[in-house]
Amino acid sequence: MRRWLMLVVLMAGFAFSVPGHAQDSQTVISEEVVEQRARDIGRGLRCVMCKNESIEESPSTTAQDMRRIVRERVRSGETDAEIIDYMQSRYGDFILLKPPVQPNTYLLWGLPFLLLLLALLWFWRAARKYSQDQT
Amino acid sequence: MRGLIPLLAFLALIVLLAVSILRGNSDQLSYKFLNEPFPEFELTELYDETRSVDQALIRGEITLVNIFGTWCTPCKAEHPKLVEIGETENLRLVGLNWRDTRDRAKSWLAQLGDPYDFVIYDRMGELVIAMGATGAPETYVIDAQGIIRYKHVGMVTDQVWAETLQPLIRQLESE
Repeated sequence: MRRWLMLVVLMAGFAFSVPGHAQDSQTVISEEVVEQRARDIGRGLRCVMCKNESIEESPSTTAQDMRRIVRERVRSGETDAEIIDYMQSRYGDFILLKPPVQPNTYLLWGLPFLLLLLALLWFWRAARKYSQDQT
Repeated sequence: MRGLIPLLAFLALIVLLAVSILRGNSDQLSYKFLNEPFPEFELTELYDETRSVDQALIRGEITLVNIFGTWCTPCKAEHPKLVEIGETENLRLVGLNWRDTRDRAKSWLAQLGDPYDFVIYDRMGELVIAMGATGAPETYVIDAQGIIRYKHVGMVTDQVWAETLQPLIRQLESE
């Protein structure tokens, strides 16, 4: 019982606590937040020199400059979508590590589901034939 | 015979995927600024840091824009060819100096020769990223209207110049 009480008190403490940096002025984004958001954005952007790394992982000069530009834009108050749009406007869909769902990628996104459906269909027919043969 | 169906379906899938992969030429494939105006920018000139330059400088005549840096070994290797082009061709050459200090870039050009009509100083890669470049060296052909007509990734060798860039420039001159 006492353990339960302590847990409740502890949880209430977390629930009503205010993160330290939340009191910062709203126009200035703290460096911690900038870094966090920039990393999230950067992990989704492909390094154009090394093809299979994100700009956060790549040591290439272009990726270094891209990382800096992403951080500058976060600081200047742009949203994640605006920053990704900017990069996409410069490098095309290629810059996105996760391809967007659009007409030329329907096949890419749909094929696994289509194959699964076909496999299930095949399984269902084979199973039915098997049970018919048994009887 | 029916057992061959999955195999045939698999082969058809391979052919389909192979065709879509092989059809694209990766360099030109997704270059966003091909046949588009040179992107807007605001930077300064290498030799004169008080002189600001923007996209208007690129317009008006056929221009070769070359991205280079003193840290970039292939840039050094292609440089004699650019010097030769600068001497023999009636063509505007613009250098885009990337990730350098002014002093380093200036002494590099003093030592190897400066073929450029002017050099844009882009320490932070602002314009390099804005124009969708992937690295250095890269060379762009821009027509008199300021439209990017070609992007060459890598060194400008004798062969690249004779077979690709020069014919394109001749064609633009006759347009």
